[in-house]
Amino acid sequence: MSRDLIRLMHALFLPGAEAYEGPAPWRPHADVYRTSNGWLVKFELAGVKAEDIELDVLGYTLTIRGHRRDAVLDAATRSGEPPPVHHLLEIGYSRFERQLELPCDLKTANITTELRDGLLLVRIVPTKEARR
Amino acid sequence: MTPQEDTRPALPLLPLRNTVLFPNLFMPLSVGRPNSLAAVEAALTTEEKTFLVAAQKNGETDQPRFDDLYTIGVRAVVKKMARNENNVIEMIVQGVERVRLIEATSSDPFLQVRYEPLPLPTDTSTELEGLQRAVVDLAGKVLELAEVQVPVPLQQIVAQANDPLRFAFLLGSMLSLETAKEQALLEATSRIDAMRLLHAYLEHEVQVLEVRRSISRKVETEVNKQQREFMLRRQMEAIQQELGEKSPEKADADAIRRRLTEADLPDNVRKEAERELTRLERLPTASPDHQVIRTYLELVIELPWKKSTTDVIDLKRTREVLDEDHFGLEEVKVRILEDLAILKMNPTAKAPILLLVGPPGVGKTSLGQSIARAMGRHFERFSLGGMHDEAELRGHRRTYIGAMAGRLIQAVRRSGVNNPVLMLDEVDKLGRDHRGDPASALLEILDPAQNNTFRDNYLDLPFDLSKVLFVLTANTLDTIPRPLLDRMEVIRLSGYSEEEKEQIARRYLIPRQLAHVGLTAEQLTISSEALRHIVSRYTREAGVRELERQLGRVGRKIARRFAEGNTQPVNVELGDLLELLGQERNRPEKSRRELPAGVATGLAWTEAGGDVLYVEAVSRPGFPGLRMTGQLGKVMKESARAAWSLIASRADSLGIESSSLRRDGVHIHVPAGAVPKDGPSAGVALVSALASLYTHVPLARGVAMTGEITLSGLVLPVGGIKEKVLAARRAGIATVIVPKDNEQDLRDLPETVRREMKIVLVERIEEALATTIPSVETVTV
Repeated sequence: MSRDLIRLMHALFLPGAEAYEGPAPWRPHADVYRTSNGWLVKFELAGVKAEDIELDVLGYTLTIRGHRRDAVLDAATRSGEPPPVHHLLEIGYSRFERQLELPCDLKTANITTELRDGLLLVRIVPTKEARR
Repeated sequence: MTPQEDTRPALPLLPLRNTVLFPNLFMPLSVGRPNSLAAVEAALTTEEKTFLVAAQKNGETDQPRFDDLYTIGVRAVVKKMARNENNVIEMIVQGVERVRLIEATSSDPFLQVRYEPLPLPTDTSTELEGLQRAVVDLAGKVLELAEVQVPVPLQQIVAQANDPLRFAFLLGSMLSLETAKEQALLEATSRIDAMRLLHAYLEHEVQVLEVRRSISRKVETEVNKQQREFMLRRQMEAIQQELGEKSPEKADADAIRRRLTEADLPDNVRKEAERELTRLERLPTASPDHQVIRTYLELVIELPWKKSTTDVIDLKRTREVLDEDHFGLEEVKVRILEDLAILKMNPTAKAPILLLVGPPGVGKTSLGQSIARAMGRHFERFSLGGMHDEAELRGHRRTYIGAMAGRLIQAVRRSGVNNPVLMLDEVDKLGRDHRGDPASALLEILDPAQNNTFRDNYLDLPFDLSKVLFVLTANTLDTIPRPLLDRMEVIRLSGYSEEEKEQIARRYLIPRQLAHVGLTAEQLTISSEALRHIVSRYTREAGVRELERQLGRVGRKIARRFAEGNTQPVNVELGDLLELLGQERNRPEKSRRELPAGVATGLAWTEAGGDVLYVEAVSRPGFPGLRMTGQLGKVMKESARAAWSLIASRADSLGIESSSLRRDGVHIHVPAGAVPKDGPSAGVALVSALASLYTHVPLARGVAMTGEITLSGLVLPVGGIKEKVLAARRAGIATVIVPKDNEQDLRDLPETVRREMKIVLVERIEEALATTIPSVETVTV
């Protein structure tokens, strides 16, 4: 039974166990801050180009999805060299998706984004009525 | 080929052995097979890091071809990977979607397979919901039975897995299912099918677990108590170790093992001892057997299996030692020297088993010590007196509680060598009862042919007693069983004469008592007159124990005077004895002043030496017949009858009226009435007394007599001549009538006694009567 238990543990607690939520291969990590005038959501999206990120807002839910390319492979493909071989792999590639539910109606909030040093910063300032 | 299929490019395929990957679930995988490595590496070069996973139909197949795989698998992505030093890829993969494999586009270096997605079913029904709840219940039961500590309550998992099929996959992967069953779950065409399958699997699992649990419960209750004790002991050991102490039982067993290693044991003994030691080490100290085995092992280790002293047989020195320790006993010393001479000439000769017989206090025990000293051997003794249990001698079987080795083995252990002089005292006082006969056990011990493998019941290992020099002592031979007596060399120690006692007192007893009371030889002297008086008037024994006690009394009283301030040396004279020792203990039986007719002086041999006894006979006119009193034994009574018949047959020649013989009966009494008497040696005295009675002539004074008679008037030899003659002398009797055949016994008498005493040797009763009733004419027949 212990083998099964390990499987269970992996299934539940390994990073990315939240994958039950969606079909994307990986989920970026996120921090959510309460700021003086609203919320700051920070996504860890190193190596992801701004044009590959898509932000979606629906009610109280903030959805971010996109695509991380493997730049090393891309470069090798472009130069026609044989691709390098992975020795260790911990970074998730290709499609990602992350949904966060926030305690304010996002439809009426002012949202600004900034991609800086591999981090996507999403500032949310609710309007008066949304702040209740 | 449909255009739809074309849109999906072929992907590398990773075959799985013995397990199935489900969509959405993670699985750690180790990839070592070259084909699989190539497939994974190819997948890693793509953006998606994705590949197909399918289970092998047979886990044993090493290089599976397309046909060896289940056609339904999943597409998976690599979440994390790392290579270890053996170039094995360890990775965590996640199933992404269920797929159906269509065909292999290449198979070298790895399988490249075209596929199509096989979406999971999405059917719903109330039955499905019911089934799902039943499955949750069952799963809870499984987790409980398997005693799995689940960090997250099952309900929470269920809540997270909002899709029933995902939930089914999760549970399915958790159960130890066979590959075929897992595959069936993966291939389920509807949710309800998957749930049914899972339900069946769980049912089975619950049954198995319940059986397992009931078995382990049963075992558990049995083992629990022992386990508890074991755990506590372990903890104690750990504490002791922490404190730097060894557990006492371990230390104990270790000490014994060390001693065992050091001990010089024969192989068979060592083997047995090792076995017992192993048992000891396994037993807790609290066990009653522990002490038993420990005691046993100590005995085995301490017994002198191979240790012996070297004999120093120097006859000259032996003689010196014997002379130093004992005065007189000439014959005994010669015998001992002879026996030792044999041992010197032939060291392998069987040592004789000596039996020293004699009255108490004549030095039997100290003679044994002297033998040991003379030979340079160790000396040990124990008494057989009153022993009536064979087990006391040979030990108890170890099955009995409180069992011990026998006295013999214990004595050997005390001596520390396997060739001690072993003295067994009082062999004539061995008892016997329903518990066995120690005399029979002695038979084996004393048989040189058997005692090299003497087996003590407790020891239960053969021990060689053949090198032991046995010396036994006894006061009399009469009560020693014949077969036992047969094995021994009997050496008789007779009583000491008064002269010998004086010598012994001068040489050994007085110096010893002086040392005891702390006086010097100058401070206390005893005149010979006084000493003689102490010997004759204050003691009455064959040995010298009482004499030593009396000398001790003298010494104490004189020592007190010195302690109270006296400084002048003291010489004890005859006149001082009344003050020092009180009234004389015994007036020696002086020959009675007046011997009326019918009284004869006989001599008796007792265990305490010789004694004078009087045979009294009176006539009972008008009462014919013979009456005898004085605790006479059967032999003595017969002897009296024979004497009477003898007198009757000689009536004429003795000048006795035969009518008075017929008319008047005789009463014979031998005082003291309380002392039992037996034996034939009073024959001559009885005849003399009767002859005196009927002839009305008193017997000559100062004549004592001994000897057995026959009806024809022969005088036969008797024993104990030396003691008897000495007793007569003590009583102040000058003449002793002794059977002629006892002539050689007279040589035992000290020279002075022989010169002083008049010994009349007789062959026939007439010669005796001629001495005792000289006035009566007798006619030799």
